[in-house]
Amino acid sequence: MNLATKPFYNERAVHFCLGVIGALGIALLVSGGLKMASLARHSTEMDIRTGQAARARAELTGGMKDLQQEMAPGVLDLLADATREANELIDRRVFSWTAFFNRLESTLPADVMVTELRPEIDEGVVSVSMGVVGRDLNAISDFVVSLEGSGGFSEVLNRQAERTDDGMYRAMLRGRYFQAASGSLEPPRQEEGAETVGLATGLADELQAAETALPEATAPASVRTGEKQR
Amino acid sequence: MTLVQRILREKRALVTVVALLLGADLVIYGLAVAPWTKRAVQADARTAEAEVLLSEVRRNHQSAARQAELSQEADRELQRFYREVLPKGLPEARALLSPFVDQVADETGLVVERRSNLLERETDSVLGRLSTTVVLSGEYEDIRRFVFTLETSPDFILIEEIVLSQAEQSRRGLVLTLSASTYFWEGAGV
Repeated sequence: MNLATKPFYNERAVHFCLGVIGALGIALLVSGGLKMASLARHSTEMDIRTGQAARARAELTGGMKDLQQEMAPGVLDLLADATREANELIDRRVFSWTAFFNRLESTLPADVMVTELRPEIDEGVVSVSMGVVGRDLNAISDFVVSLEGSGGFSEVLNRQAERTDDGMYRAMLRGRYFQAASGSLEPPRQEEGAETVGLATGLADELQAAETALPEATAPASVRTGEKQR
Repeated sequence: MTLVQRILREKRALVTVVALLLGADLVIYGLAVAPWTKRAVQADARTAEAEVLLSEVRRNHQSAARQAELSQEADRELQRFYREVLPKGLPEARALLSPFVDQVADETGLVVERRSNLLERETDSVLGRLSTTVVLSGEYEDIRRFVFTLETSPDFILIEEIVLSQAEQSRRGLVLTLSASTYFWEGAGV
């Protein structure tokens, strides 16, 4: 018989619950402490890394200023201009007149004569102006087609043509010329049995055969200064 | 008195300990862990920002260093071009155009009919330019050999323009009007 005035409750269960909650509290406490230590360590590391990055940045910025002082815009511009000028001279120096003559000779019809040649090289692109004299305009047109057909020229244009006093046609052609790779210079070709083979003599032979003199107007009127037209 | 109140009273010591533990947890998380977490996040952001800036500056520095290296290389090449490829000053340039061209003309069987020389100095260039226009007469093959010899010579001669015409009826062959030039470094004598 239970004579107690207080109702019964399970003390073990209460102790167990309080124990579990206490253990959780201790675990949270330890975990919080560890986390705090870890965060403090992490923050310190980050601060150190930030400081290192800032120092490295300051050093690099200082170095960059020195470099920029060495390469002042004026100095760079002068250097760029001088380099451009030198490259342009080298481009012009590697232009092969012999290869150009060889190419022209292989395309020149018998009734057209080249009287004047002037290459212009701009940023690696070679444009050639050619003064030609032909028996008629068709012959000059055929020459233009032949030049482009050779693969060595493109965009060839007969910019100006006029009839000479001798009934010939004088024209100024201009087109883009594709140079052969440098270093492929070959000496001028000698054709056996031919006394003269060439740009100017093709028509000259024809003219001689026809007992016609080369028109005076095709010869240059005066000595050129050598100044390249740009 | 409820059962819970009774238990709390009877197990006060134990409950107090557990409550203190939980209170300590709250204090640690509220006053330490949370602010430190915030600080750590901020430190991460600061570090990331500093490292981004550093990479940017490093890239700029590398670019500037590369540019400086290229400039130095270009300057070295230019100096080499001026000192080793171009004639050394006007006297050498003059000798190149005058006796050399004449000599090549002679060797290839061409006759020098006329010659004119021009010295030019451009204000925005360190190079002087000596050009010559020479009128030569001879056969076509000789003209081709002359041009070939001139352009394959190791000296820096630029053939600028070629004008071919038939010689006067009294003479055989062709007339070649050739414009050539060479450049020299104005600082060569310095």
